[in-house]
Amino acid sequence: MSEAAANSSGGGTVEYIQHHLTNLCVGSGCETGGFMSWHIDTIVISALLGALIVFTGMRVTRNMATDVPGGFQNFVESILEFVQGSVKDSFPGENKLIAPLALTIFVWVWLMNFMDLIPVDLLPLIAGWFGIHYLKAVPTTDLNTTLAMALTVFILTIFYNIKVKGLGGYLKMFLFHPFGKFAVPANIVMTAIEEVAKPLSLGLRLFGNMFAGELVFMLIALLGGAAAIGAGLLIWFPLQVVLDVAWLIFHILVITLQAFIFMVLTIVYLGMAHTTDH
Amino acid sequence: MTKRKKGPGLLLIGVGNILASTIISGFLLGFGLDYWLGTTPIFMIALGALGFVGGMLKVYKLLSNPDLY
Repeated sequence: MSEAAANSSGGGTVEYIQHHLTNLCVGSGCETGGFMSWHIDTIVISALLGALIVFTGMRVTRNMATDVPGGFQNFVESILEFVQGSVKDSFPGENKLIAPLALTIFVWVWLMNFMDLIPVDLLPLIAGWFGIHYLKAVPTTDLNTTLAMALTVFILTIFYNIKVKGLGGYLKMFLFHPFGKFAVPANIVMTAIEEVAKPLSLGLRLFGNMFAGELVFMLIALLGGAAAIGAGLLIWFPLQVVLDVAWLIFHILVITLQAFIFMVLTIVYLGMAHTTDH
Repeated sequence: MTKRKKGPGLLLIGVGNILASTIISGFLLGFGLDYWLGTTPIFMIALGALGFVGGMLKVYKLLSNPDLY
């Protein structure tokens, strides 16, 4: 790992970190941060992980045993039951979309977060052999992924708000919500702020946690990477191993928790859209 | 008495986040309004302040009575 760190960074720690935090970008807006820029690595990796879920799901269904389920089927069933339980606990209404949506979010976000546990230099190194110089392996460390998912949830929330409460009922929420009927302009602004804050907090929380986690992994990798300056710095290598294992174990908890929070908050927000009394 | 749902309580996980994101969303909405009306930075400051107030209010309400939401 340390050798790769030195190779891909050109020796400097700042370059190393910046290099690892740069997406493989295609489009006219890449340098300027413009709208027309496509993060190919994020798109491809998240699509591959999505395909993995579909493939695994199909395989499990095809080999399903009704009498004595095998180990993997048990595992999948336990995830299903866990998500089903969460939906039953938190969702007040009746909607057939919620449980599959929650399951998709949970598994997909978990898998995208899981990419964080793969050694930080491994995938960029392999990609480097094929001439790809930038690769950010964790899709959830890209704000585009998390905000896109949050935005999807937001649009669904608006859709169900209008469907359940009616357009009038939804607008009424904007007019009379925090301060009663005598402060309508302030109410509109406040409710708008609160509504926009929901997807924002959803997306930023996941992004922030994953980005910070990735950064810590990089800093730990740099401990050993310091050996590129002088072999004497290899003295830090045992520390790197210990820290890496500790953070890895802790991070398993973090990625699961973040996937769970994203799922639960989606259910809660959609649940709030389904309740008529506010 | 109906069975208490776990969901609203789970909102408390992200209570600190709610405060931060209401302020950010206030600034964002204000920025959008300013951009549209050409009044930079009046709405950004005003809505940012409102976002702070709203965030405080929301957090207070959530913490004092999670059943409300």
